[in-house]
Parts: sequence; C-alpha cells; structure tokens
Amino acid sequence: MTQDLPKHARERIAEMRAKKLFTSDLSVSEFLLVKEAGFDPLGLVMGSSIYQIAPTIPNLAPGQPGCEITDMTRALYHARELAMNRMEEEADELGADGVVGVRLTVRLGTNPTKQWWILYREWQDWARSTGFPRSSTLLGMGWERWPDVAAPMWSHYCQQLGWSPEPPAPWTRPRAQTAYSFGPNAAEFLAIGCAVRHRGGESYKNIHGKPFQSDLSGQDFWTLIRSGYRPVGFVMGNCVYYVPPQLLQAPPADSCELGAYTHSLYDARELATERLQDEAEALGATGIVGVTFAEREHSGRFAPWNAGNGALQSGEVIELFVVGTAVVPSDAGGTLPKPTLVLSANDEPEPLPGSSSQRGE
Amino acid sequence: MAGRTIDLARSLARVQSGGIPLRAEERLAEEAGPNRKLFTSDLSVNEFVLARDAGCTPIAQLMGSSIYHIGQIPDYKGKTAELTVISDGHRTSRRRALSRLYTEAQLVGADAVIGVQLRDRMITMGARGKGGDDGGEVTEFTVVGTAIRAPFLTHRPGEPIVTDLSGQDLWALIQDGWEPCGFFFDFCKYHGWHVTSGPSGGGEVTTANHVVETARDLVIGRVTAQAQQAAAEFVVGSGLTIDVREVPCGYGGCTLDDLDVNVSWFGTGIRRIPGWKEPPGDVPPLLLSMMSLKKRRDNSLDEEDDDAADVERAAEEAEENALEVAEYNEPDDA
Repeated sequence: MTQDLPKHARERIAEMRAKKLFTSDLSVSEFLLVKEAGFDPLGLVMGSSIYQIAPTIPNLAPGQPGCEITDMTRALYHARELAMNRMEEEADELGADGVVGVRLTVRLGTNPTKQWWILYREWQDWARSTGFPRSSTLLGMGWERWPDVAAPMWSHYCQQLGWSPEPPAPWTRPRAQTAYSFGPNAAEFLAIGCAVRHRGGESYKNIHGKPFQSDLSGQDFWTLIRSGYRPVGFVMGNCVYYVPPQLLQAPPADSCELGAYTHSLYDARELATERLQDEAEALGATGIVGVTFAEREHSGRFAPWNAGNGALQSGEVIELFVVGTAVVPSDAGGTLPKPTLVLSANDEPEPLPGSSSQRGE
Repeated sequence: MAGRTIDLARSLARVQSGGIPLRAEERLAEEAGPNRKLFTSDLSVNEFVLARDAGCTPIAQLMGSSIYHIGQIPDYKGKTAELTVISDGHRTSRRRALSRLYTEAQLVGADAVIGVQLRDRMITMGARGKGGDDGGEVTEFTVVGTAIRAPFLTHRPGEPIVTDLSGQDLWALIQDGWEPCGFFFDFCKYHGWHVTSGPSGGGEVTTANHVVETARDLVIGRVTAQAQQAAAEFVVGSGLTIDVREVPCGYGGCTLDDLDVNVSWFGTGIRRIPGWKEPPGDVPPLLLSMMSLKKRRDNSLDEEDDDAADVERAAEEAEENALEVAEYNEPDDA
C-alpha cells in the first residue's frame, strides 16, 4: 500500500521518523490537550487527489421526480477517499495511532471559465462600491470580454484621483489563494491532519488495523477521550442528485409546495445518510458525533442572462454531503468531572468562519 | 447503495400532504427500534458531553425541509400593506419544514430536538425588478437538528419539543430550572409606498420608519401569540433579522421610491420546570480560562463551492438595476 506514496513524501516521513521532529498545525491549547490525553503529535500528514468529474445529466422518463447522478456521486466520493487514504498511509508510515483535526477541502472552482467569472464579479463589486451605476457593469451575453469595459473605467477612476502612474487594478493583483486551471470539470480534494501516537503504547488503531482519522480538534479529542469514548474513524456519505426543471414549475399565481422537489431532497439525504451509517457500521462504531450536514448546489450557472432563474431551464444539481466522527466507548470509562456553571471572563471569541448565528458555540 | 424499493407514487403523495417520504420513515423507525445499530448526532463533542450530563442521550440526526413556490403577485403600485402572498409563502414553507422535523422526532420517540440549524436558500428569483420582489420565487427552507431522549423534560407524550438552543444552552437553562417549551417563528414582508423623500429636506423619514415599525410589530405580535399559546414565560435565543430595501415605485418618471421590508424571527420559548426549587448557592464563579475548550478555528468543510449564492446576487442586481433605470428616467426638476 505504501508504494502508492510519492517518493518525496516517503523520504520526508522517513526523515521525520528518524529525527523525531514533528510539524503540526495544532494550536497551543490543542497541542497541550493532545499531550494531556496521553498522545504525542508525530507530524502533519496530508493526502490529495485531483479528479476529473464529467457530469452526465440523465434523461428522465416523464413523471420521474429527479434521480441520483451515480457517476458524479461515485467520483466525488472516490476522490475524497483517495485523498484520505493517502493521508492515512502517511500516518501509517509515521507509526501513528490516529490522525486528529482532519480537514477535508474540496475545490470545484478550477474551471477556467468559473475563475474568469469570479474576477468579473470582483470588478462588478468594485465598480458598484465606487459609485459606477450597476447597469454599466452588467454586460449580458458578452460578459467574457469584461476587461474591455473594466480597463477604461479603472483609468478614468485613477485620473479622477490624480493617480499617476496608474496602479494595477484590484482584480489584476495576484490572488491570495492559488487558482489552478485543471480545465473544466476538474476538482481538487485535499485532506490534512495531525498524526498522533499514544505515549503508553496502547493501540488506538481501528478494527482494520489502520490509524483512526477524525475531524475533531485537539480540544474535542481530549474531551471525548476523557468522557469515555474514542474515535475510530472519519466517516462520510454523499449523494449528487439531479432535479429536472419540470419540478420547479408551478402555475404562476399559485403559492404551493413543490412536493416532487422536496421528495428529491429527502431522497438524496436518505442515500447520503445510509452511506454514512454503513461506513460507521463497517468500523464497528456505536455512534457518530459532530455530524456536519452540507447541502451544496453544483449547477455551475454563470450564465449572466438568467442567473436568477436559470434553474427553470437547466434544473439543479445538488449534493448532500454528511461527515462525522465515528466513536466507540473505551474500556477505561469516563473520568470527566461534572461540569459547573461559571461566568466566563474571556473576551468574546471571534465567530467561526461559516458558523451559523443560530448556534451559541 | 439503497437496497430498498419503495412505492414512489405513495411516497410522493405523502410529501404532497405535508408528510415525510416513506424511505425516511422506514429508516428512522429502524433507528429507534430494538435493532438500532448506532446513534448519529450533529452535536459537537462538548455539547454531546454536556447533553449526556443533563441526562440526555442522542438518538439520530433529523431533517425537515420544504421547497416552496411563492405565487406571483399583481402589481402592488400605490399600496402600503403587508404582501400577504409572500409572507404566507415563507411562513407555510417554514411550518411545513418544521412539521416534518417534528414528524421525524415523533418517529424516533424523541423527547426533544436540539441544536436546530436553519438554512434558507433562494432557488429561483422569480419576478424581480419592476417593484422589488413580485413573488414567483422558489425557495428552500431546511432545518437540521439532533433528536434526544431527555427524561427530565415535561411534555405531553408523543409531542417532542423543538428548539434552536445548543447543547450548552440547554444544559445551562436546566441548571437554572428552565426548560424549553416550543419553537416559535414568523415572517413578514411589508411594502411601503412612496416613503423615501427626494433630495431636498432633512430630518427623519417618518413614513419609512413607520413601515419598518409596522412590519416588526406584526411579527412580534404573532410570535407573542404563539408563545402565549404554548404557555411560555420567556422567549430566548431569538434570531431576528430585518432586511430593508429601497425599490422603485413602478410609475415612470416619479422621484419617490418605495420600501420593501423583510422581518424574520425565530425563538425558543422557555418556562420554569414544574416543582423546581432554587438550590442554595451564590452566583457562579468568575473564571478566566487559559485553555479554551472551544472548537478549532476552521471548519472541516469548505463552503466555497456552493453556487447557491449566485441566485440571491442576481435578484439583488435585478432590483438595483431597475432602481437605477427608474432614477435615470426621472424628470430633472431638482
């Protein structure tokens, strides 16, 4: 299995093992708590996969309420699995018992047209905030030639402010994030985590003899271990579903639920959840904690003439993606003290990126 | 992959009448039954531990969802009123989604659903521009939460409690002798005619103020009525959003604009646990923690690849563009 790792990854890992030097992306609290839980961080491990996904929109029989795009479900699932397996192999090479703080990122925005569209949007935002009328930036069908409008607009703006020589326009500056162009329909999957090993030599490997993976932070990991559970794996389930445009149609004056679409969404959720549970059962888990439920829309509509109502023509491609950490009760049992109410004197923490305001975390 | 085959027509009919699909029902019944293999919960580990300390056990992750077509409305030029078609549309879709969550909770025999998270997504923007939102949109409303068994909660058998409180909040409330008794919500879309004054004059634009106030009062009144019916003493954890937009009035060459207001409110009703006695003791100690048990800084999921935001942006553009066109056509009398 380990032959699958690139040469340089193997070298790096062998060196890290020999020198006992570790790199990690753990915060200070996480580092201390992972230590306190009886584990030593071994190093940052990662796996990645670049995958081409060709979406095939199925032909549906009349009356059929949408269906799963199995090719795409499999592709998205397989690519994530590849990335995670590579991370697991690196951890295995390091002699780890597990990987904590696993982050799985997916970038579907590697389509060059999409990246061009993002820049177009950025210019529009700038023009709008600077006071140019919105209508002058709405280029309709010819949007791909937007620099023809943007360049004179920027020159005019610089002239007004007396900026000479003209500085580069904001949308021409290098991006903070690398923007690859793998071509249309390509996606990048990346899994990063911190490999850990139990100091006492106790094996925390899962029933397949592999290091466990979990998206729990160092803090969560400590809390879970102390409460008498241990993670056995990072489990996921997904489902890509095509909803044909007919399901969005309703008599214009009617207010009504679109039952067939609602049914499709439920169907997608059932399929994704079943797969999540199957994975957890295969690991012999008794439960899954921290389940994150994400619903995404992958239609890739950057058709400016009807972005707002495009779904009426092309339907929708939705993905339901659920991930969580499978856990089993540990033999040692829990030693977590009973929580008490305290008034916190800490400063208000910054909100988590992407967290819902509905939740007091 | 899904091995079960289900009667599609019957399953669809269930959804049409506000129920949940057969496949979901079967799976949930299994999860609550004696052959249950594992629990799933979207609680964080801290919440999970706290909820267990409060005597709760997680059962399963639940979802309620409704995709709704809001009827297109005729021109509402010259009116100041609630756009009931749009308000009702949003409200009905929320009610349907929450009632499906409730049905799922009943199926798994839950005492409560906690940590409810909401997602509101515009699928198509419908008719936009001429007078702001003219209906015809398709929206999705989805709620996700964790079903728990919590023997200390008092509720009528088979009537679980739904709340957007987190595990931590629930635990803290229980410590102080409170329990959730209902999840309340309302939505109001209000349109005010000719409220924004032209370039001349100063001072408060009272007509605009009035529109916002009225919309808020309507929502507060309805939520309060719901709370009274559920015998709640307080409503906590409220998520209140007010979205105000200037829209063209629809008459060519008119200098005055209209106002569209969206008010949305969600909140959890709480009441005293019957027979609860204040324990002896002081104010909880003040603690400055050096080592936080909070979640890590980043999420495990990257949300950047969701195309859903494009629809809302297109709707916004259409409205603003119409406003600009209307302003451009105004006679130059200033």
